[in-house]
Amino acid sequence: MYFSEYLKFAIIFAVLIIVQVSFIWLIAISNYNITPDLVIVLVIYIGITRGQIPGMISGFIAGLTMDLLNGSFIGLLALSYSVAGFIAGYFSYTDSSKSSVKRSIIGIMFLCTVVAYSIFFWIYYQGVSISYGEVFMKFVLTTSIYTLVFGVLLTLFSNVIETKK
Amino acid sequence: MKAIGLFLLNIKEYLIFSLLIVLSLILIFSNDNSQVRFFRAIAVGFIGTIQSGVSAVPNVFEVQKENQFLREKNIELSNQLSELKEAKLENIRLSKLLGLKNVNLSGVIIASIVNKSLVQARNTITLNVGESDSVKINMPVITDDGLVGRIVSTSSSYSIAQLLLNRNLNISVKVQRSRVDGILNYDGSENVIINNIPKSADVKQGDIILTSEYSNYFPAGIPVGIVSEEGNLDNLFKKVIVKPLVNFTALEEVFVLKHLPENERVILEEYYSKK
Repeated sequence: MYFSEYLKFAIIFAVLIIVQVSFIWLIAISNYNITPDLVIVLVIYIGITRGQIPGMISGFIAGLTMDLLNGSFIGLLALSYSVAGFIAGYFSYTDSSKSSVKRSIIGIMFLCTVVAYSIFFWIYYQGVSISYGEVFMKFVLTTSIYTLVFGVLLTLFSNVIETKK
Repeated sequence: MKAIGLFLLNIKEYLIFSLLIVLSLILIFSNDNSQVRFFRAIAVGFIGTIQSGVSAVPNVFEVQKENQFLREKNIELSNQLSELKEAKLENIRLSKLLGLKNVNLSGVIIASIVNKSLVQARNTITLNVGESDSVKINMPVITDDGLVGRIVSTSSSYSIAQLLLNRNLNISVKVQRSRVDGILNYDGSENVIINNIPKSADVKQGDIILTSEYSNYFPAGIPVGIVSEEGNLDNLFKKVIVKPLVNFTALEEVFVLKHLPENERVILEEYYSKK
């Protein structure tokens, strides 16, 4: 990645983190305040398009920033996002595999989000009387599906830009 | 040597991944240390500045309604204030008679909420008061309805409070009517529950729950909620579900109590628990 690319992604991350921390509750759904995670969408996108190392490192930095801003459980989102970046980077495409990866990008995004949030909520709900199955259904799946909606939008958006080029 | 170098280069992704995982785990397990608090304070200050700018934009549709509500509340509070003055004088007289120690309550700080983070179970609020307003970590946050939570992080001009609906907050409480004690916490889904209540304890639906004298962080007697449901958890304990008195979704202004745990008591309890 070139410096200009780093700068571009840093700016997008900063905007997404501010939106995620300050405004995302406006579109929270259900009694459990389920919100989409815009930041993880970008981490996964970087992982798929730029490879495992940029995916992991951007995930770690973005997660740590989110942890600091949320003011609780520092390191937990850093861990989850790093794992998401690592898995997404595993599916990172070369020119020859680009079309097949693009076809399954939604599935990859869903997999990364489910794994990342499984880790997050598994640690977060340690010592709580509710079962992990319940946590998985109420929080992990719902958050992943809601996030996927924004992942689909990002994919469509990037396809449109690519087609115009 | 070259072979080792090549091998390491081949597995660099896994090495970096392992490093990041170890770093994350170190951070997770070292929560609440002074270094993390320092970085947290910088971050809180930064985001608080942005959020206070956003919250400065008034909602014109709500202002008139709020004005009306505040006028009514003002009249109600004036009445309550005169009653409380009387009660305070009576309390001082009775305390002197009984020889009770004064509770360390030297005032309140009025704060506006500049951000709410009602995301899953990490429910926190950001307040527009900080260390420069004498806000300190562990100070209780209340409204006229009851307990809101506790300050967990501060910068010079902003602070973050954990709400009652935060899984990390445990509060020592008692039932007002029967004086039964227990530990109240958020179960992470939709209920606030009281643990450790024996099956035979006298707890009924509609009972008012207050903070207890056993709490290190909260002054005793702050209303917390009302028992909405009670039943048997197992052969030994009751399951008591509490409805908080504070409406967290409509919170806009709160009071930070200038109340901190009594050092002597904390030191004594820590010393004894280490023995």
